[in-house]
Amino acid sequence: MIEVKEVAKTYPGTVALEDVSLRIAAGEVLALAGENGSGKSTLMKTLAGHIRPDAGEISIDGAPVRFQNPNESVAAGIGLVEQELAVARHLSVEENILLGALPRRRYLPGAVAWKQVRKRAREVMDELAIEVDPRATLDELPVNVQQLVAIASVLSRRPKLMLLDEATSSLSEDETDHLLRTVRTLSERGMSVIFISHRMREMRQVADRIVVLRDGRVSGESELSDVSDADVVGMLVGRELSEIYPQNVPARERIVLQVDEVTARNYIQNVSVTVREGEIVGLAGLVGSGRSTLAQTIFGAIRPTAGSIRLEGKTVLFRHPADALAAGIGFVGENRRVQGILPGRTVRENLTACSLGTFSRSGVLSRRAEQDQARQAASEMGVKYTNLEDPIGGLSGGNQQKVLLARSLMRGPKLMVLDEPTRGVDVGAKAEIYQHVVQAAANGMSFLIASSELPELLGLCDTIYVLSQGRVVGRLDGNQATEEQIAALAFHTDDATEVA
Amino acid sequence: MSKLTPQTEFAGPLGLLPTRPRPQSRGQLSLNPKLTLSVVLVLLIVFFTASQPNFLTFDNFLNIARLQAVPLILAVGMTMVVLTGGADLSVGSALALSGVIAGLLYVNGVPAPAVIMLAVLCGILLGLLNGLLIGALGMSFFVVTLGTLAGYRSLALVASDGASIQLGEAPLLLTIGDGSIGILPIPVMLAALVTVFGHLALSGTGWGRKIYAVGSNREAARLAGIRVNRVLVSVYVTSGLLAGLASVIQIGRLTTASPVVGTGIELQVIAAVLLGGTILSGGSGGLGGTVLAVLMLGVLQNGLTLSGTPDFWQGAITGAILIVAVFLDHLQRRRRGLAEN
Repeated sequence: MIEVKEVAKTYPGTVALEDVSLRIAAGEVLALAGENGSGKSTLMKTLAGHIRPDAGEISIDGAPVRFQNPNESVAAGIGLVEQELAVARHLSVEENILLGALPRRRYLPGAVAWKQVRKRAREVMDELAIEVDPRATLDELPVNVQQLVAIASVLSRRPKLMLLDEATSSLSEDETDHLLRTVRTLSERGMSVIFISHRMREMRQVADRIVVLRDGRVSGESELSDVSDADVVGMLVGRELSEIYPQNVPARERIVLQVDEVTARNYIQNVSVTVREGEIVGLAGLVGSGRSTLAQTIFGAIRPTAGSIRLEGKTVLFRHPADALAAGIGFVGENRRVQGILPGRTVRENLTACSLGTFSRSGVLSRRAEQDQARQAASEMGVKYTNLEDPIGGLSGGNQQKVLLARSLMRGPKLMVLDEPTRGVDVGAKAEIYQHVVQAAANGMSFLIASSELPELLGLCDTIYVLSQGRVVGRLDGNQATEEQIAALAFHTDDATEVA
Repeated sequence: MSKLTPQTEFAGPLGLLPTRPRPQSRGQLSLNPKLTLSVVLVLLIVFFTASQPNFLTFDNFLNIARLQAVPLILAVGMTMVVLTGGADLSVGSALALSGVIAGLLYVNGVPAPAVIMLAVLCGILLGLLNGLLIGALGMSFFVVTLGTLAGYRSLALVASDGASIQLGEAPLLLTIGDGSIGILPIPVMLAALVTVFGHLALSGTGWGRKIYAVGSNREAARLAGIRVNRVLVSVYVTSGLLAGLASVIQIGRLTTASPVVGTGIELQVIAAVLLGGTILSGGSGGLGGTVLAVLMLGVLQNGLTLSGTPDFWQGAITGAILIVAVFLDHLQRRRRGLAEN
């Protein structure tokens, strides 16, 4: 039995886990649910020794353990399949599966026993029905197979406790079913499992009990058979949606953006989207549906291979994001750390990175003008900071996100393209961001928002386009659409293998 | 979150990292190396003053400054390059090649002012080649500048036939390389001027800001509308330009253009930039630290020479200082939870 007792973890500006306790019996499959930023992954990483908790205790079969690093957790029989795909992309399937534990030849020190590698890898691959050449390089394989290999790698160590952090998000339905059946079988043989997913169906299929996290605390715990889906959603959200989504003003008639039959490499094909003045348009779809690619194509970060984009009636072809910015399009990418933040630079520099031209004369910056603008943009957006000259890293995720929004808004764009605008942002900041979006839209700014959070799209958007496999498969009225409708369209074709 | 939302979310590393303790930025940390350097510099001066009677004299300090003019000018360009996350290994070779070409032009009767401009132009072109390969073609800075490190040196040897070119009477070049106005050596003033301009450019212009942005996060910089390629080209061109300028001082000081001058100087210069607190991956640091580090290395070199330590030891001592300093910086950051995993 594995027990987590009163575990807490705090980051500056955010309480990731507070007083979290749970126990998993041998052979039990526990479903763990929670919204973005509720602390699920932090908890998993704590169990896997990637993170040291500030307080609390983890014990295995009654004996307290204190992992200093991931290896100790692995040695204790805990195996984590991370949310983010963690594979050695240049190694083969079999090497990945047995990574860190490659069998050696007996009489030749250090030499790998390849026959044995193949045999053992084969066994695990069969369990998960992975039907590829074990010698294929991971790079050459689609993401879903890579994901299965990552799972196989953990399974090959025969862990006592397996942690599946959104391991099914990139798998097809068949693959998921097979994985869940395997997990079930192994749990009957005594393996414990913590299973994280956003899909109720999967949780019900595999788990006995559910624990719900909200804002770093356990907000509910139950036998799955005793609760309805609605009950779980209640535990997850803990509030009425109307509380955080402000009332949206109807859009105007004038068309701001007209995307016409745009194709970009293999990622999006013949996509047409219209955005009107003051309209908030949503892009829904699975990972790999082309949402982010479309957003980046409109912003000039990816070049379309066919089709046309018209901005206020004029055909535009952006060769660089700088062109899109100059034309009045703002952008905030889905991955704050990779696409947005300038780490190590100050709040001020992060705020003004897009607008250097507006307070410089022949290249020389006016520090005073820059500070004024930065201060104003930050206060308009409600960024909480102590000093503009502090490094951006000290701000909480929500505040960093606001800095990025403020950065784009500083140029006064006509159209804002937002990709996952509230990813990894706490609930309070989320609500504030929504307020700003709706407020700006009421003043005539147009928005194109790609998001994986359906409640967000339904709560904000006038119009929602649903993408699947790089194509628009539906256009819905945001006031009338339901999650079921969108999901049905998004799953339109089942094989979600590519990733944009 | 709904039961039907078929999506990954990001409570994972991406959601967490921004809130991960990153209390002191690298930007602020660069103050620390500066402080450490100042302390070390003072300690060195005290030590050599106590042990070498000839050390603490005005002439000796002018001598140190004079010798460090060329490395400092190169280090200014190098700081900019390193701030973008690169390095220019070819500066020493560019210094030699520009110098040799200037020398050849001069002995063939080209007037000195034109020679000076052509040397700088030559440096610009050499930097432009690096910059285009790295910025426009997207090649690795290491591969490109390693290639031109070998290539430019070889061209310098070919052009000079492997021999030093004696400039003979070269009053203007000699003045630039070794002259003084009052008590201030002209090369030192030139280096100071370059440093001041460099500092103003880095801290007070849009260009400087873009250099930091590109080094801090290239993709984010691109999405913020910064034309990363152009910034990259510009820093390598600057590095080349300064190598060209330095070559004028170099050949002027000895009125000789040698094809083997500045061999290995790129390492000394990069060491100074890193000692000065500029981070090898870019985005953080500046010229303040670089100047201190160049001075410190100059004082060290001078003190060791005065105390009769064989030249051969200087590399070992410089290297050890570099490794220890960067290690201490790394330790400090890790203690503050800055080093990620």
